[in-house]
Amino acid sequence: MKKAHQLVLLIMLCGMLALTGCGKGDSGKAADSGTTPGKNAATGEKGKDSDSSLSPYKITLVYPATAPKDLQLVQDEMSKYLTEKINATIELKPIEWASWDDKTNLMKISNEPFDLMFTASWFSYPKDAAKGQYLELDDLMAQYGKDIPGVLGDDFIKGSRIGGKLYALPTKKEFGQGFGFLLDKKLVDKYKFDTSGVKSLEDMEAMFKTIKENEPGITPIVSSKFTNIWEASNYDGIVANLAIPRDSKELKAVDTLEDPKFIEFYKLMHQWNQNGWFDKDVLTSDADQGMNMIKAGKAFAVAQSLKPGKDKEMSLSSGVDVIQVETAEPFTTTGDAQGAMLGISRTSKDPARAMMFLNMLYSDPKLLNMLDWGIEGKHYVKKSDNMIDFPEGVNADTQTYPNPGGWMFGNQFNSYLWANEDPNKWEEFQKFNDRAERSIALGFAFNQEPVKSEMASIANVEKEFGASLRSGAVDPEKILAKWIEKRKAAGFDKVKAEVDKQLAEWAQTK
Amino acid sequence: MREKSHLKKSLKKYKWLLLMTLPGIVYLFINNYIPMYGVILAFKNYNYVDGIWGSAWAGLDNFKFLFNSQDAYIFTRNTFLYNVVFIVLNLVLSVLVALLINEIKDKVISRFYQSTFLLPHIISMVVVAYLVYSFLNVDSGLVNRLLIKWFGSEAVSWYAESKYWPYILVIVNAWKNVGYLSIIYFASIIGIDKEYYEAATIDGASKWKQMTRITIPLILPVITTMTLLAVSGILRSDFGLFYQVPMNTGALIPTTNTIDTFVYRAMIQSGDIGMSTAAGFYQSVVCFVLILVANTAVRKINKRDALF
Repeated sequence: MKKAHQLVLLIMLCGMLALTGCGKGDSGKAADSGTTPGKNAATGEKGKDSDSSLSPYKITLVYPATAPKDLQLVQDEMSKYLTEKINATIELKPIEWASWDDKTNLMKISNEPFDLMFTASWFSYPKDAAKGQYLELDDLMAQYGKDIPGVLGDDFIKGSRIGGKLYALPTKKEFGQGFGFLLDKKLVDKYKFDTSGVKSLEDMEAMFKTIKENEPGITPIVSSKFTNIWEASNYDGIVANLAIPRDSKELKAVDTLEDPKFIEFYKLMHQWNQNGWFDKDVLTSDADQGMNMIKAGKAFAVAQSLKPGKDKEMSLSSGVDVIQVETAEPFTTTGDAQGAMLGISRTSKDPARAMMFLNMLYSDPKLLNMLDWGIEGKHYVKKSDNMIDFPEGVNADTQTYPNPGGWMFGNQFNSYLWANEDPNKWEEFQKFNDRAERSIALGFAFNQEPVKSEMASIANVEKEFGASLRSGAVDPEKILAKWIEKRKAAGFDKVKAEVDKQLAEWAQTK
Repeated sequence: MREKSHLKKSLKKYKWLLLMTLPGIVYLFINNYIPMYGVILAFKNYNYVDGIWGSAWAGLDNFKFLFNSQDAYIFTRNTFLYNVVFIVLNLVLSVLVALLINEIKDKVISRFYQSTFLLPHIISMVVVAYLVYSFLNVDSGLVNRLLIKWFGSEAVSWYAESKYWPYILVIVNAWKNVGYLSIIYFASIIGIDKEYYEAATIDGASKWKQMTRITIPLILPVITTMTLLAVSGILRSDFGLFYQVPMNTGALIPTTNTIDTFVYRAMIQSGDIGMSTAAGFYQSVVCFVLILVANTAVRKINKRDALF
């Protein structure tokens, strides 16, 4: 999965290069804050009798998103509510994905005061934790975040730790990843494929064969990202292709490049490529392109990491009906626990209040839904207790407070569902989470610091061979031999020794 | 003694001119010299809590990653050779283009050509990357279609074959930069006194003779300066050209990896500030040495053309 996340990051960086000129526009949002003082004055009285022991404080929440039109309105509404509860106001500080790295790095380096920041294992959490950007949360949580452990459960919190210490709290969402494919519904119906019986990759081969033979213009499966997904469902990857196999009973890192199962799989991929089942663009294509090709009627399947209702979500956002099939049971690794988190910055002036706010994000549906969906009646209307829809005359294109990404905040299970969603979505999520198989290394996070210069060289080696291997275009044995040799020259043995050492140390603390 | 009074004299003579350069010098100092203290990050194990001064010293550890793999030779060679080719080829082409534009007597057409040549220079590399992609796409790319249609050959998987990329990158770079450079040369050509040419015409010199005997010698100082400046960046590479244009494709790394793309790929995972500073510092030192050498060489040949 790391690879995929890296890909996302790279795409974002490319976007950043293209969009640097536009990124500056969002700072203007603060300009219409003229309405705030009046409103705050009105709520001030209420604030007084709520909790007199707390002095007023403004919590700053930094997260990646595009600043919506009604940010200020929602912020005021949330501030009003928070003043009642914990005598705090809030400043929402969305930063464009494209300029996130630039802006937040500057904030971190220049000691700018802010309270909460979005982070994730694929989004510099380990690196920032190592550099001391986030506060340790155990004591704070015990004192001010009493509801959180109950909501998240032990596994989630265990998985969020780095070196035994908790630096950020994860969003409660899907805990683990399912692996499989999204298939074009039209073609599934046309050839009457039985998708319910699919359990493995071999079951998929018959479908691909049929498509290849009968539909000359259609690519059976798009994108080499697919093989990343296979790797992620079979190995709990650490670094440099060192991984713990999924069914492993002992905490021992295996070199996937020399693992027979891994080699077998890539021989199969080479075969698939020879069969012409992949797109010809496989070296430059990505999963987005896969969905676009399905939409254009040029492809049949794209590989995806899955969660319940993923097919509906994708059908909705892309406008083409797809069906999901799982080829492996969901698997939970440290990366999944750290998939989306909020950390309290070392520059926070009042970490206790930040923790109180976090506690509310996990336990107070009203606050969370305000952050997720805006103001009732203005940005959404309630259809039933936890189902909402657009108010009349508003649609996805004209809404003034689009969801900033509910998966980033608190307890997503408290979030309202949309009228077109499965009303049992959160029950399904719960089942999925319970069903997901935990990696025995769940909670182990590798600290790269001692071998960082080796890791930097290995990153380049990986880049050189990874994509070619995954595309299936070249004979895996040849490329693996070269890869192993070059990786060794880049200092792989030292990295392996460090991984073994840290794993052994971690096993001691377990 | 004499030198001192000489200095005093010229100080007095140029005091207003010197005063006028003051704002520029102050700006340069604040903007370019003060931040240089950041270079100590290259020798530190930086963390946010302790800050720049408080972080522990790392000695030369931050430089290790540049040299501890076989890649070091390849990316240094790539960066160096690409730049040498770029410098020579861009120089020849842009002087040629400047000379040709100079021969166009119609003002409107001349302007039109200048703008057209300049256009690629202002297009973002990301856009250029997709332009190139539309030529080289395996399925629908223009080049492959023409190859199949006219020559009946097999489709070439451009993004999988690293051997073609030195040529592709040189072409893209020339397309993008020649126009810009030619405008600079063109500007200095217009500055040449017309009387030289009139005298030459009377003496019966051909156009070719006029170009080689009058124009080129007279713009030689500009050429030298521009080339020296280019040499000073010989260990830097246009990141967009080497990262975006090959679409960051792994299979092309042997011929497209330069020091900048190597550092970027190495750092995107760890984001280590010390190590990236070390890489930048290494580039600067090498460039500094190179420009000293180049400048000395120029000074040996013709003192007046040297930068300093």
